[in-house]
Amino acid sequence: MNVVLEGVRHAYARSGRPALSVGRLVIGSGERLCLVGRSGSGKTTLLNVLSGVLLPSAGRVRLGDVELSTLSEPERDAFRARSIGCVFQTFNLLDQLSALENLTLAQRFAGVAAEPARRRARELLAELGLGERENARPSELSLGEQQRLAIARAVSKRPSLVLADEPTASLDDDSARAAIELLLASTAGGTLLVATHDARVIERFARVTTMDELSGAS
Amino acid sequence: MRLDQLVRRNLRRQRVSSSLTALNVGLGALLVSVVLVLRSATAGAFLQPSRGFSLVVGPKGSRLELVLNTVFHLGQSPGLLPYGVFEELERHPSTQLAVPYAVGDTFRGFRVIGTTEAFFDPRFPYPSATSPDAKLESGRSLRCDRAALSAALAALGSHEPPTSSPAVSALAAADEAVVGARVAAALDVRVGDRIEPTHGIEAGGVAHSERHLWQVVGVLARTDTPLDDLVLINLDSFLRIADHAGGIVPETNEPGISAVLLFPKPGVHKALLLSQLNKRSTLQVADVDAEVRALLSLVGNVDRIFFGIAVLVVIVGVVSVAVALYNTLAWRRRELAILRILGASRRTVLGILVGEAMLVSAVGGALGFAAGHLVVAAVAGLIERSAGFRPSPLVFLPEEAIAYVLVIAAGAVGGLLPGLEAYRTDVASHLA
Repeated sequence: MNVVLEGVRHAYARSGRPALSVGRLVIGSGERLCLVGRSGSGKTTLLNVLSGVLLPSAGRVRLGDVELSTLSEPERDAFRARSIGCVFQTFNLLDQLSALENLTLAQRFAGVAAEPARRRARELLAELGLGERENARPSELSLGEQQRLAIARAVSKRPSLVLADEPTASLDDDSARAAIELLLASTAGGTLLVATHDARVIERFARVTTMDELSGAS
Repeated sequence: MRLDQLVRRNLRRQRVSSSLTALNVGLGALLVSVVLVLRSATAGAFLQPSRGFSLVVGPKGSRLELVLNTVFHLGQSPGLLPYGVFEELERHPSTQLAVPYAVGDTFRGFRVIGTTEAFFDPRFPYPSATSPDAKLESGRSLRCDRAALSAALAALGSHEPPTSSPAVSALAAADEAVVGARVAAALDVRVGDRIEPTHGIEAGGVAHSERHLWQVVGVLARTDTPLDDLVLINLDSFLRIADHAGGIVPETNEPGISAVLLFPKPGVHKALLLSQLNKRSTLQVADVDAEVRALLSLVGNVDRIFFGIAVLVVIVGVVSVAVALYNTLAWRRRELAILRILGASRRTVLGILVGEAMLVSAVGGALGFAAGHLVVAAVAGLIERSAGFRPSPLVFLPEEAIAYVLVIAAGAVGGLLPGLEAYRTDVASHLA
């Protein structure tokens, strides 16, 4: 899925302060982009705009053939459920569910039937080395395992676009390397956008851009 | 994973809070269940047994007391009615059937009624049958010889003595009893047994001053009415009991009986009898149907108050569900935002919260209704002793099913408040 942003600006109503300014950004289908920026530069806001949970104050966001601003909120929800996977710094796993259920729930929202969803979830858990722990709660897993599980959840529905926000910030070196390798491997063929300021991640990407470059400030 | 599984997992995670809120709803459901079951049992206990009865004639006093005492065998007899009134009513052109009742004795807690063969007439509503013998589960109906009855009446007071003394003395020994189905089952009384009633209707009674035994000649077919709890004896034998020698109506110095169950001929005859008899200064006539409806109306007012309280408790329970869920939102917004980022719509998130409220209400309601029936089982004996009927805890009413659905629906309404709050959750600001 290719991604095109043109003249996108956003300011939060409460503060009124501009939170995001993107002149033009194009990410080709299957391309991997690392987005670098200081805290508060708008990386997370950009990811929220791309995932459709935030409508920008101005500008166009096109994901594949879809112009996000033309979709109603339920349509954006459905589009996100089918086509976009998200990975977060704090994993955002649901602790009342088992590892297996975390993966099947995400697929359920994407419309995957129960049995194929369970099969896919088990395959992913086996690949992650968590096959024996499918019934474990996320809090019973190590931080590295939790992030691997979060990545598995994001890719379990085979999305066209994966957005990752500081995916390694909570991890030690080994876990961070394992997580980024998993992220790159599991999204092969799909479009990947990772927002980070972690050098261990940045060095793994051929294309790196900064928020300043996007806003035209540099 | 289905959303209902997610709802269950969410509630299981907050076991204590979920259990307490379910308990709140359950208490309301318990009260609703008890009120509904007792209301139905009360109506059944008074409406069903009174069907088929028409008029009760007795001494002046409370009409309701007369009906309760004669049809439901509750409370004390209002007094005595001259036996001559029964004879007059029996001959009245508007009368189809008249059945005399004399009360005042018990047999091991069951009331004893002195009556005649008229009780076994097919026109007497219970047990429903086309012949006297068909009204009996075993044995035969009792015999009350008119000559023996006249002799007993004459012995008591100013009543014409019998003309044939030898026949009377031969029949005087016929002390026969027919027992109700519950009496037979509870006391293991069978045809051929001899029983000895005691004086008085309070528990236990006191032994008669002279030993007097009645032979059980029949067991009535089960009617599921207060008749099952009766011991019937022939009226002449009742009057021959030495301790009943005082059973004289003071105003007329005639032997008295307690009441007459009167079945008028169809048409205007009931109205005629009511009009004529109510003019008499020494007796009164009660319309069974009117008195029972007046009683149920009286009970219904109390019942409505209890039902109102029960509904209020359910509402308090549902509000507690809403409050409990609302309080969880403080720490659940991030989780709801996660669901949204995974693709759940606002309506799905609303549905999850409403589903949780409905499930808590459903579980609490089910436990409450079940507990309500346990409470009914626990108090059934007490009610039977005080009101004369035993509510069945095993009967589940259609109204309870409707009430259960309403409790769940109320839970859904209660879940709307936190649900709408969840609906408005801003995803971007709650995801790190």
